[in-house]
Amino acid sequence: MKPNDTMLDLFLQKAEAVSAIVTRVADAGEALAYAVTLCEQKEACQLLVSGCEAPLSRPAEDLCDTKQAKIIAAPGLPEDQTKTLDTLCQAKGIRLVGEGLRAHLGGIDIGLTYADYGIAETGTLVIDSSSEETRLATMISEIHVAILPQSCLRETAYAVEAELIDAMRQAPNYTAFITGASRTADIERVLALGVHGPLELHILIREDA
Amino acid sequence: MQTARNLKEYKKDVQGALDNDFLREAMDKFAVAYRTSRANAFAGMDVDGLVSEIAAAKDQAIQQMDALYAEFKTNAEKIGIHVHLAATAEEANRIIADIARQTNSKKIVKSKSMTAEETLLNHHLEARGLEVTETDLGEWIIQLRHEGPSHMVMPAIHLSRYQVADLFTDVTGKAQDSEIERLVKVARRELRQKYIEADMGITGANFAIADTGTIGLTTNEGNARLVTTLPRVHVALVGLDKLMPTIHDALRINRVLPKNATGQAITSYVTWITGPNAFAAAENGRKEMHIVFLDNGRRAIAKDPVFSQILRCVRCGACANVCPVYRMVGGHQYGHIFTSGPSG
Repeated sequence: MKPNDTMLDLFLQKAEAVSAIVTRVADAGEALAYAVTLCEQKEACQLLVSGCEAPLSRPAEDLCDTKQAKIIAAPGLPEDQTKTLDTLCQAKGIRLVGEGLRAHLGGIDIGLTYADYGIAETGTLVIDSSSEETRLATMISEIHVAILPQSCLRETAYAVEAELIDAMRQAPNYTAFITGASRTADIERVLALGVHGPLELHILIREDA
Repeated sequence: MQTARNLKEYKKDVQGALDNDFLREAMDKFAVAYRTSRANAFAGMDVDGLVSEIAAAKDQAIQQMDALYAEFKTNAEKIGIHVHLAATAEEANRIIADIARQTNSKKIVKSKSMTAEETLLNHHLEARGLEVTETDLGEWIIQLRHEGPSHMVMPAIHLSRYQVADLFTDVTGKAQDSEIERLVKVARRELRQKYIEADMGITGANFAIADTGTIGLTTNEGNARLVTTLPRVHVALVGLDKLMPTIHDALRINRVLPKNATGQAITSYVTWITGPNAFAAAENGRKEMHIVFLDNGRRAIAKDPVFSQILRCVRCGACANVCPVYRMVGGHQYGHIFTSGPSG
């Protein structure tokens, strides 16, 4: 199913309104290359994770010290794509992690996952996060890169209701609606991104899927 | 919280709030900005129609509260959730303290719950030697200051960046400057450590869906996702008024809740949890999950022909956002846990 342009436009507009960075990619290969280039070039993909430059208490400082490499976490990718990604990462000296993310709670640079659905009305991603690795990859990363197959775009949350019910009937299930990066306005109502979760959300819309 | 014991003290407190220039400016700015952002969020939508639909659905759920609880319990127990019903706030606190003891939990991280404010849960747990850390930034700030929230959605709206910087200087033992972005990052790192140490995570729930035994949680910070993922045990404290028959009811309320609360189309995170999910570090690979439903007068008031309406409240905080009295003095002068509105 190819969503109409109006739906795609609405998704772009709503996702960008909450500071998500949306890019259209031709296929999976382009999406994987995007993530690696982002990790290579972006300032956030440094050894030091966000906040670790600030004056911290001793236990928080020690946690910062546990991160020793540039890391992309990509649990749940299809096997062939994991292989391709691994080759790309090795060429750039980036460590690729597929599981055991509890060993990296100090922080990872990029969490790369697929999204199951996109909701145009609010620029929202729907991600089955029943796997603990997926939950961690999408929360402890500095940047979350989500690949959304274009055919999985829907107009409203009601349009994924049947799929949500199906998922919930196969308990245990943990489904996340994600709209933009982690944000807070708790100090003087000034917006700040990346309070607990990702500082940036990148959405890659796959045109071939 | 306001502590006046007589009218004279009360007047002094109110005058103090009126003379607080920072508070007045913060409240004024918010009151003006809120109207515009709410209007924008609802642009093109039939707000009155949507609100009426939700009111009707809530009225029906309130009338069926006992049946919905029974249905939720049956479905939740089938998938391995421990379901408890507490008649009073004290009983809810006792049940949660017992779960902590039985699971050998010493450190607890918590995401924001107005129901836990209602039962004064933290005081109860702390009195039993448990360490409880609020993880919502605003809640953490007021917890460190030993205060209650002054707004349901923005609990620390009464505080300035300078007060927060002083507080974080005490917490980290290192001098902090008052740049907001930087203070948020300090909280990010300090709280990350707390999540990792925690044995138990406590949340509320914005929705309890009887059909599937699912709870729904909305946050902007994503703290509820970490609270429900990193510790071994998850306890959700949920008012019986949050029970709705289906996911459709929850999705409909969610069309209004964030727009009314902060003028956002939707919060950054909406999390639907059905059963004890994967937990790599456990022997059986699963979390331990408890849901404590709180009555505390809800079942009685649900039967009242007039006052049952109070249970329609979806805890958006919009009533405070447009309240002229709130705008003048802020939430702490109300003299109660709750700042304004039917049950907020």
